[in-house]
Amino acid sequence: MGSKEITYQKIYEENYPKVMRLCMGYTAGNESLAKDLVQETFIKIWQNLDAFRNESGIGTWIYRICVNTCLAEIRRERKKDRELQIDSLQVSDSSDNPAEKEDMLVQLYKCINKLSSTNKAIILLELEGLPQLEISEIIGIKHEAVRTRIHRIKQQLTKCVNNE
Amino acid sequence: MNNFEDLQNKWQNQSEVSATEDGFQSLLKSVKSIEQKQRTGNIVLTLTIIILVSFLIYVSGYKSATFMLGIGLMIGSLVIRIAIELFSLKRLRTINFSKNASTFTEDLTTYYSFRKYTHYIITPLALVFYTVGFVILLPLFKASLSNGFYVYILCSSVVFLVLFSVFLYKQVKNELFKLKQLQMQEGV
Repeated sequence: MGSKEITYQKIYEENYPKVMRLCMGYTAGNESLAKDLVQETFIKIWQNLDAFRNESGIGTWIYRICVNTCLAEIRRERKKDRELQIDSLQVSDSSDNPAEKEDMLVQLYKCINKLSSTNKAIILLELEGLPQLEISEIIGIKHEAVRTRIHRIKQQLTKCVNNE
Repeated sequence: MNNFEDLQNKWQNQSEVSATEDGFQSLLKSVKSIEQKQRTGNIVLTLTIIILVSFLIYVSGYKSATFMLGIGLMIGSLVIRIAIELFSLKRLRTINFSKNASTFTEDLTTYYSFRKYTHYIITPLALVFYTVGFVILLPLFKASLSNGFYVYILCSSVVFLVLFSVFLYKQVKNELFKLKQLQMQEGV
């Protein structure tokens, strides 16, 4: 393997979990669609790797590519996909012995899915624990505006998860 | 009752999906294959343009003005359509995914808006010119080909035109849907 491939493998191994989490959140827990998006994200990372100048830190750079890949993924929700998604949500909800954590995650996916694309990206980055300044750099809106928006989405999300 | 910090805690502690060596190798294979396909695609489209233009130059020796007009319209509309497709593809590939999401969405919206003009103006015009060219050539085909072959050309062309129109319709519908969604995202 060449040096680009070695760097790429390191990036892949270190960032796969967080990219996968973000894509799962973006697709309301649809694993197969999320995996497609993860693959697409890493393909874009490869294609842009030579142009990376370390101006924003590799983490921010990867999040930008991942968020943009998810934003660009506009497809009509296929009926089959929608049914699969709903089925898997119902199975988790009605299980006799549900892991509370998993249940909450499913509920969280559902609630995140109700948000607009940009708000989804913002709250997923917040859930990842990124500083709000970094989120504003990734999304491209002012820090103050991000702060206000996060506050509003947090309220909406908490309310939704608690079925209020 | 969960507050946001609980949700965040659960989110960050969800069962980890880790990267595998197999996953990476398969990704690397996809990356290489995409690069190869892009190269092949560009070569095929460029070769098609060269062949069509060469063919037009070759047949330009014919004295029949009707033939030249018909074949010129057909080949010309195809060449223009392919050239625009190549240009669009190049433009789409230059959209930078590592910019911030707002700039990226704007770039993508600009791209699909440009595609809208292609779909609403260039594509229908190309289709009309192609069909007119073909209709102009029909009497020449009838005069020089056997009846059976003439009927075959006529029928297959109609089928091709219908299928191609359906394909274009789907592509246009899909891209316009994307543009609409992007404009909604920008508005949020």
